[in-house]
Amino acid sequence: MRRLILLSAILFQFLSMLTGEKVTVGTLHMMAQNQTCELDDIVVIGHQTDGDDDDYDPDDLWNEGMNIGSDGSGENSGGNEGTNWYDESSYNQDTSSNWINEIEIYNESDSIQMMQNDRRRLHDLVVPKGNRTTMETRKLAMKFMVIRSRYTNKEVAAAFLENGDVVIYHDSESTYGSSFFYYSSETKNGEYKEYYKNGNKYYPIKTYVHTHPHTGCDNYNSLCISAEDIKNANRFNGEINILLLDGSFYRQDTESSESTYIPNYRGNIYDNTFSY
Amino acid sequence: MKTKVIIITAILLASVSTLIQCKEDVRNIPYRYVQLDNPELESEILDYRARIKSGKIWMDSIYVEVSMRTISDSVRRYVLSPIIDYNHFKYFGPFFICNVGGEDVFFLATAGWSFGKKENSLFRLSDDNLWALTKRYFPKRYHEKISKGYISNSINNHPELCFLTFLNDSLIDKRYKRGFFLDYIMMTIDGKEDLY
Repeated sequence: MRRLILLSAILFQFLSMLTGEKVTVGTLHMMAQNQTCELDDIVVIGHQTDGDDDDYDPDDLWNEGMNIGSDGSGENSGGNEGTNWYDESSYNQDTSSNWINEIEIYNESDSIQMMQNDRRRLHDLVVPKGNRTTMETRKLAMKFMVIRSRYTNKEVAAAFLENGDVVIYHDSESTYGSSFFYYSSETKNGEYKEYYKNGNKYYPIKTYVHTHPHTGCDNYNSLCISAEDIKNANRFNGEINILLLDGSFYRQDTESSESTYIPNYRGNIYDNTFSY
Repeated sequence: MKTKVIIITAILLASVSTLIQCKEDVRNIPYRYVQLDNPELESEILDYRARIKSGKIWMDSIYVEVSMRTISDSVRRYVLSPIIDYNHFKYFGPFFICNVGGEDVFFLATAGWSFGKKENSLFRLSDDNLWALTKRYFPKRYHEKISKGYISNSINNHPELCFLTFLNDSLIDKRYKRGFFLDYIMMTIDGKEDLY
């Protein structure tokens, strides 16, 4: 596995030479050991499955990315364009162990984005908490969301799960002014909640966030909060989390008109001190 | 003779069952008791409908909603927006329905709606009426509920709304912007610039 990772690193380095972005083998090696990483060029999506992490069953990991070492199978999942969006089976993820411990390199360069485009369009991306804090995991995911949203010029939505993971939804159905996300509102273990459902497994959702790539919002409603935002917020304690493409993060409370309309700026995700 | 009796009986039975069906349909369509009587507003609704239906649509049904607000005794605001999912009926009401250009349009009385938790709202749509509306206007969602017992999926939608301002029943201002139907707009009415 490590050899494969290093081979991929060489390939990515070659690519980065073409694109002008910097990727170091040393950094990648560190990634393979599941260490803390720099986020400018490379992101580790996934973590070790050596049995030390009690939070995860290896079969639960549905990490997406450059499919190192796998046979490339599992492409049956995802929200294919044209698929009836009511059909849950269209977005069930492949839980094969071949998908574990993959590394995805992403940066702003169009070539890398283009390589990943189909996967991001059709497959949800899970950013597992692993050894990170919940906030670090969320920041990581949101940085990816910004990059993706800039590249596609579409909205990107994500669910913050209660276990600290983040699920970034596929965006084939999203547009400049809309993003598609899904959950199951059900009662499990006596609790009625919103769940991210993967096959027969249910992961409670804490809250959700989406990007707003659109401009031209006026001073009265400077975040372009819509009826759908308010309606969806009812499922999540009246909370609307909005991420702008400069990294600004806003959390609105729909309990009153003032707190819905007046931007509640909570910081910038690129700021080391960001937390909310 | 026998054939005639059979034919007449069949026609009578068919007529009776058709009448029963029609009556059933009317009974199941709630709130439809007024007609829109303003050609300008009707024209704008038809334009907006064409606009929202021409965009990239991946949901199965889309309807026009008109949110109504009285700004003053002579100035009224009508905001046109799309309804794209069944739960819109649950969160935004009360409303009534008019048929405009052959398709139902929902007219929302914004005075009956308020921010805050929905359980504290003054008005509530019963579950029976919610599912009756869902069955009629979002049949795929209805069948999803029936077959799975729950509904998943949702959309963060930020469409361009059409803000129409009428002075004494004539259109004086029209603009498109993203936002919410309760948004105020900076404009000039009777020489006075303010947020309306």
